[in-house]
Amino acid sequence: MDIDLIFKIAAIGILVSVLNQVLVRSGRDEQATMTTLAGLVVVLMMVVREISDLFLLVKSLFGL
Amino acid sequence: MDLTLKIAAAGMTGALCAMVIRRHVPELGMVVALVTGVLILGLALTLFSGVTEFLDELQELSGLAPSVVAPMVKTAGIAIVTKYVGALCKDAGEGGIASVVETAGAAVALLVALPLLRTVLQTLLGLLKTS
Repeated sequence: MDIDLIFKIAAIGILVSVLNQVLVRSGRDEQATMTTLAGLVVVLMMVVREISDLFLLVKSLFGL
Repeated sequence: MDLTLKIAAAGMTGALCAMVIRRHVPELGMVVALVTGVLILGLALTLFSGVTEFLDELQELSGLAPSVVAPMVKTAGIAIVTKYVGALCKDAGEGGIASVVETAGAAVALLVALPLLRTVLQTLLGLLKTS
């Protein structure tokens, strides 16, 4: 179990939220939305392998 | 014991991170919660593999057919997955999807247990015919 992944995602989340606030304050709402979306995609790319691993483990363990 | 503390620490860290992030970017907060759950569940299930080995041993000792024990284990797996995903959907504010996922899990579990029920029925029919 690598806890680093949680911290990595939390760091990306904080970065995205700060960028989001700065962009919203300077009146660039659509860019703020795009930043949020990009952050979500990046995080999902990191996460999807772990989810796949978990489901494969469940599949092999319980013979589903 | 060491592992329990590790899991507790991981859960607490994940919950805290999710709480901080959810305030500004709710979708990323959900991803943090998802990853925490996936990591902890993965660890718990790798521990569980020892139990399934023991179950296989028990099945060999008792002389039961594998088709009798397999549905039980499968149902446990289905229950774990559907419950976790349902709770995650509920956390994301989608109670409807959560209940649908849980209903689907119940349907699949019933489908998996059907051969077992059929075996019981055939045994009963055989008993009735002989008597």
